[in-house]
Amino acid sequence: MSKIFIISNHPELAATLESKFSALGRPVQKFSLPLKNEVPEIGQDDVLVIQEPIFINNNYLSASFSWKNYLKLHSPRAVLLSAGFGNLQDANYLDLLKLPADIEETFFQARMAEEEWIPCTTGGIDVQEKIFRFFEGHGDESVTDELHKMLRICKIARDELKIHEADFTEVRNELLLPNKLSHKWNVLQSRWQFYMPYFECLPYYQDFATLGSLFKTIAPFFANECSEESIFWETQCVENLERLKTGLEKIENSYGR
Amino acid sequence: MADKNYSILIVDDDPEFHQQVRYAFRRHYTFEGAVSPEHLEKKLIENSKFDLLLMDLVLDETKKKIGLELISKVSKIYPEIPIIVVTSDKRIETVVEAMRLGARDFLTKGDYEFEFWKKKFEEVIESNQLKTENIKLKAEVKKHRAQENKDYLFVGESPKVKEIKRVLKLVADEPEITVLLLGETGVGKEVAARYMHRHGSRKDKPYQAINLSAIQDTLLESTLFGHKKGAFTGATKDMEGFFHQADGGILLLDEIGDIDSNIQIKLLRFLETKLIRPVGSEKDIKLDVQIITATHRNLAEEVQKGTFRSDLFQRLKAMTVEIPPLRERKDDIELIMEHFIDQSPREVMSSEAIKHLIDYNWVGNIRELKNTLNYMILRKKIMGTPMMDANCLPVEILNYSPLPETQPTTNDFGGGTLVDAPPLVTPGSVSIDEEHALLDLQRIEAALIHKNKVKKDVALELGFENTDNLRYRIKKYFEKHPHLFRKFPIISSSYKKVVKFD
Repeated sequence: MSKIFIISNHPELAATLESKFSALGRPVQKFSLPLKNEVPEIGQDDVLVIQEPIFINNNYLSASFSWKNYLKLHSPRAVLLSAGFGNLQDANYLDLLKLPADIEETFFQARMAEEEWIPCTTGGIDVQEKIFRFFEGHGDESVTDELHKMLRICKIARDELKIHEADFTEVRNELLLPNKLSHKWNVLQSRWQFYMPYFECLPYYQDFATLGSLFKTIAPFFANECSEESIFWETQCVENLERLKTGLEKIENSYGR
Repeated sequence: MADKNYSILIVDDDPEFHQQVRYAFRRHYTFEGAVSPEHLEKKLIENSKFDLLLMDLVLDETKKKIGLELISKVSKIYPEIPIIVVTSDKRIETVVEAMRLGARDFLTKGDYEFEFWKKKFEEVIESNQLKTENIKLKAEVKKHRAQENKDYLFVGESPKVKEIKRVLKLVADEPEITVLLLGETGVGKEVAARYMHRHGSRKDKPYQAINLSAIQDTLLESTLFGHKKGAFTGATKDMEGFFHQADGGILLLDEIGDIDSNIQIKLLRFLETKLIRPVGSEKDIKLDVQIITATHRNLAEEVQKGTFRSDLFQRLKAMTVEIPPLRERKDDIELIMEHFIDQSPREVMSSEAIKHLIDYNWVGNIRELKNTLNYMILRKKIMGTPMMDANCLPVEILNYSPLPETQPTTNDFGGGTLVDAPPLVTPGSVSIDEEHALLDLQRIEAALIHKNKVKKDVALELGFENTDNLRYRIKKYFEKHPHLFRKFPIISSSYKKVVKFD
């Protein structure tokens, strides 16, 4: 029998919906955000009801669109319903102030994730838009753009030191400092920290969190204006930035376009 | 140190990117930079000799891909400069659009790897250089061919020439047929061969011509069929022969009557199998070459004497075209003169001079006419006259008196001649043939005196391609009219091996 999943940060609302759906005789599972180690395992023909907008980290976020993309990839026949207090009419919208008498009929009429439709929003910040900005190749808000610049500079430095046996001080003076590598690191970090609170409502937030742990490993090299060659090698700067890049590309290819 | 001193222009609004690329590749290339479309235009006006242009697509805060427009413009104005797009946007549609507009390759800024980028730069630069060289070479070949076509124009509107042209065009569309061109020295056998090449299905393929009598017997096989390295002393590398160079096209074998039996066998083999074997090679090579042969000899006679293979002769004479001597197409003389002097003869020559030229018997045919015109142009300059008059003519032409009734001569080559000349008629006791021989020998005697018996200079003055042809001409006259030689002591003493009185 297909399951019903509820994602809501409002405990009372979640409890009301749970009781309503349980009456249908189906298994019901509740989740609250952020999704740390537990991600709902939504199968084909299951139903996901997500609160719209959802309050997290002092922001009202609209995550329905991102979840639809996620379901389209992993459970295309699953049904996504946005549940909010707005007075909206849509096959995939559940008006919490006027819950339908025949919930099963609503589930039946709703479109599946694989179909072409745009989820209703009720004024929350569009998380998918943040995802686009995060990955955008050429822009002041892009994380990957800054990461690519840093990685390129670090690779040039690595080649100079390793292949041409250049003196580190020279490389630092001629490449790292003029290209403001430490500053770029700060920008990268601050942009990362800016986006992560928005991504906590995403089913793949854990992937971001794992990649984020690489920051701690690399940070020491950039701390003192990139002054120590030994730390450059110890922290495996190029390799870790490359891991970060590859990990982000994987997320972008799946959900970022 | 730069290993290949390529000059690269970076177009990017990010000064740091310029600095990074310059720094990473400073040992290999020289760089210049532009940060905006205006800056790029200025740079290209100052110097359009860049080997490569690295172009970002987004060049300002608007984030519009104005680089795409620039690719299109630069490719049109400076097609010799290849462009690689280097950008952060790696979407397929962007790549496709950039390539469609003229970019040669695409690199994403996020995927920097020194070796990969260097390889890309050099691949694009070097393939572009090859492409540019190829275009230049093709243009040169085209120009050369156009010049050759002009030089080897088959000039003539006389009925005989029109008929020959018609036949050559027909044969040109039958690329498997071997053609034998016959005619005296200087009648334009090579011109006819080139005419056929220009008008046939092989016109865009190679045309090669070789005078077989001009190549030493020992070198002829290798010259025709090529050789492998080490095949003989001096063969330091593999060499393609004329057959190979003419693959797909046409090969004119001039003076075919002069080849020895060894080459005759190999030529026959090629005609039957389309295979050649380079000297020193153990492998046959299959080639697609249409063969045209030419000779001034009577091949039927050579077959009779046993110096030319009968089976080869049968193959060669399948399609025989005889080019008439100039004296048999006098209607064309003025047209041919116009072709050589690039203007109407009536504008630069007196009527009397033209009459002399038309009346002359032209035993050296068109080659002799060309040399005569060059001589007259020079004489006109020396004499300072406004027109070329009779005084500019060579003495033998000025003093030449045409016979009241002339009959054309022909050779009995025994083949299926498509353009037949009437058979030789001997009026009275002195044949026209003998009359021509006498006049020709007079010219040769005079030239020997004039050139202090230096045979090479004599041959040149009289319009022969080489001294062998001159010797051959004397030999033939001696065989036919030995009694005439009593009148020419200089010729007799200079060509003792040929002129042997009993």
